[in-house]
Amino acid sequence: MRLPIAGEIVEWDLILQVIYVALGAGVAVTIAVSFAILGATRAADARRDGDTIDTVIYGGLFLLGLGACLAAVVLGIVVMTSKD
Amino acid sequence: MEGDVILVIVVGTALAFDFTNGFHDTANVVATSISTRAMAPRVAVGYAAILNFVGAFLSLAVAATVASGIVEADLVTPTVVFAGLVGAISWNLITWYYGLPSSSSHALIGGVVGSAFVAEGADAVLGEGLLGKVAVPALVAPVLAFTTAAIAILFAYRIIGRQSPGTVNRGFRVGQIALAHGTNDAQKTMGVITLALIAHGDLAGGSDPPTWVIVTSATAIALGTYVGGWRIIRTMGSRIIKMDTAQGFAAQGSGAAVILAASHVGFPLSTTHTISGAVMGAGAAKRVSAVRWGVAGNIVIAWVLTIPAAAVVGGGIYAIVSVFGEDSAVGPIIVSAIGLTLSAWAFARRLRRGPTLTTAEA
Repeated sequence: MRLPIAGEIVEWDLILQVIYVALGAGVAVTIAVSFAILGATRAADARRDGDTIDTVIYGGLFLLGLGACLAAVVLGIVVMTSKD
Repeated sequence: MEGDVILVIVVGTALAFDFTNGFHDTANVVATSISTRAMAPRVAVGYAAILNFVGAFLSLAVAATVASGIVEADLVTPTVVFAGLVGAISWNLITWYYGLPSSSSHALIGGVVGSAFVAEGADAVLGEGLLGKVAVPALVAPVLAFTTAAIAILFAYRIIGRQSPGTVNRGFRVGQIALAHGTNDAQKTMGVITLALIAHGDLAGGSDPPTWVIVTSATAIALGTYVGGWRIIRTMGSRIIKMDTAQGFAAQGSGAAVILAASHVGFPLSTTHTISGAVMGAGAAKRVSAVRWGVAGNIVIAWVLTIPAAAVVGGGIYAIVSVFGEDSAVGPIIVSAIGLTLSAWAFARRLRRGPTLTTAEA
């Protein structure tokens, strides 16, 4: 008896949407920055050791992580400014 | 004439609430950045003040009249709003005094619910709205932020592994600065003032807030933010967990993701509940005992008490004010004078005892 009433009052579909979007975005941003940091650290080490291939690979990882993080920031600004 | 005086008092009280909202909730924006030394304390609150000022202009939806759908709109008078605002301000000041992060939106809802209840009886309060718009989001926000931050920090530790701490700390600090954000909490005040202007006949129903309302609300919240609720910043930044830079980033990133996702679909979540939950999650994932559960428990108790406590004060204030007559300005004038005196005394006392936070303390 209580569930249908709660179902009418609480917008479960919105809650579910918030849960998966927030979980995905929050974890993804942290992973992106972590990879950017890992890439920057390893690329610096590789350059110091004169390892060109690793420098390029880890430099690419750094750029990829950085790009993903910047994209998330831009998306966040767009979401904020388009809220009505 | 009486109506004009009440309107002026309601506008002044709403701006006072906005100011307390600013300094009370500064921690939501800056606590992680300060405690992980991503930014110096004064720079962080200055930055947050600017972002909160800008945030007030980003979205002007007066849907931020937070009590809509929770109390019968037709029964809300300027006096009810005044009593509700006093209830909210009182709870904000009490929790600030004890350094407890609690939701300013919930305090406002509680205050208005209490005053509407005393003014018009139980029929004025919409139970379904309280459940759907307040109770359920209050449960979802901290749990979701806790889980998101916990998963995020586990991935972060796994990826960065045994990299040089110096580079890792620098990286996460820069990341936190990139994720620094403001809020658009000033909307609540704009909504309250706009409703008062509509009720007074100065604006047509459904009007957008006039420019002076937007500018004064933005200024009040920015000033409040810059003053900084240092006690709450200290609680959120270093008393719940001793935060490292990765945890600070995970908490801030996860909190921002939860708030933005909720904001995008129009699901009302408390910023305070979200960021506090994220900080606890980032700590507990590293080590459950890393979280000072006594502090966390006090915070949760404050969350549970926010609406009833603000409601009791709001209802009590309405009862006092209505003794002088529902449309009389005498009650609001007396309550405002007493409130201002008590607030000035509490501020002076706390400012004498509590120095502002330094980076080293954080």
